[in-house]
Amino acid sequence: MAIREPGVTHAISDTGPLISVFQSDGLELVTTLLPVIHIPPACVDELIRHGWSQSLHSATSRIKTHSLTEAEEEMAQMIARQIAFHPLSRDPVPDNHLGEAQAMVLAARPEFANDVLLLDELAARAVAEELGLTLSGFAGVLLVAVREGLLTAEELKTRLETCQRQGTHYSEAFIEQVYLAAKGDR
Amino acid sequence: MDKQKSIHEPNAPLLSAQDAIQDAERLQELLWRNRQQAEQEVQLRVPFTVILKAIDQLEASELHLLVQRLEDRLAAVQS
Repeated sequence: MAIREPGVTHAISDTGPLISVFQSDGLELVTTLLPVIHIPPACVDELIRHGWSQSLHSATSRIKTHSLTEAEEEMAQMIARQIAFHPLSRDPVPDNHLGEAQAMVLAARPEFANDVLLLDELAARAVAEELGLTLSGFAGVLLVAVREGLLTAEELKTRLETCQRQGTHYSEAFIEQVYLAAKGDR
Repeated sequence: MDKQKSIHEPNAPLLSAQDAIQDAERLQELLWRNRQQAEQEVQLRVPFTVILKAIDQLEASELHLLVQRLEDRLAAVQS
């Protein structure tokens, strides 16, 4: 079980939000709010496959990998099938959803009961909500960073645009609306 | 250097701005609740004048955080 200071909230992350963290050079910022990010083995594999191994290995004090028990792996396989066949999914191959499914299984452990699961994809989020997990996407974390005075609304916009330039599918409208929400928060 | 980088599941539909705003509210509430639980272990009685003096020492980012907290608290008290 992870040891932590009282009052501190940790994150369990799927691959997508963590790639956004790396793309926007946001690890320092995100871990100011959520000091440790926990990830399952499938996310490690996906991060390496997508070329982020160096970023991952240079963050070992703040990103912790957890292996799953056999029962948890079976549960993750079942959740991956749920995501694949969800109406919001555009990818019917369960193995392609193993990262988010394993992250959900990890987030459901009692030790993470008061933590947040980082997840950006709609189908996976719908399944995670059915499981009663507390969710946020990457943009939600940035909005909280603005509210807590760690980031300006302009810096939030720049970070989302940086992710967009590197291939993350944030639309112009999405970035503008989140930026306006951030400005309204200050 | 890392090899050529790519994103994960590029065709997966992502959340909306409204979802992101709701995420932020949910996350803020979770952070607040967890911090409160820790605070309960170290409750102290502090003279109000000490709090006012402490505010004079805060920096801009800390003042913004305090403003947000005061607005939330005021709204809760007045509701």
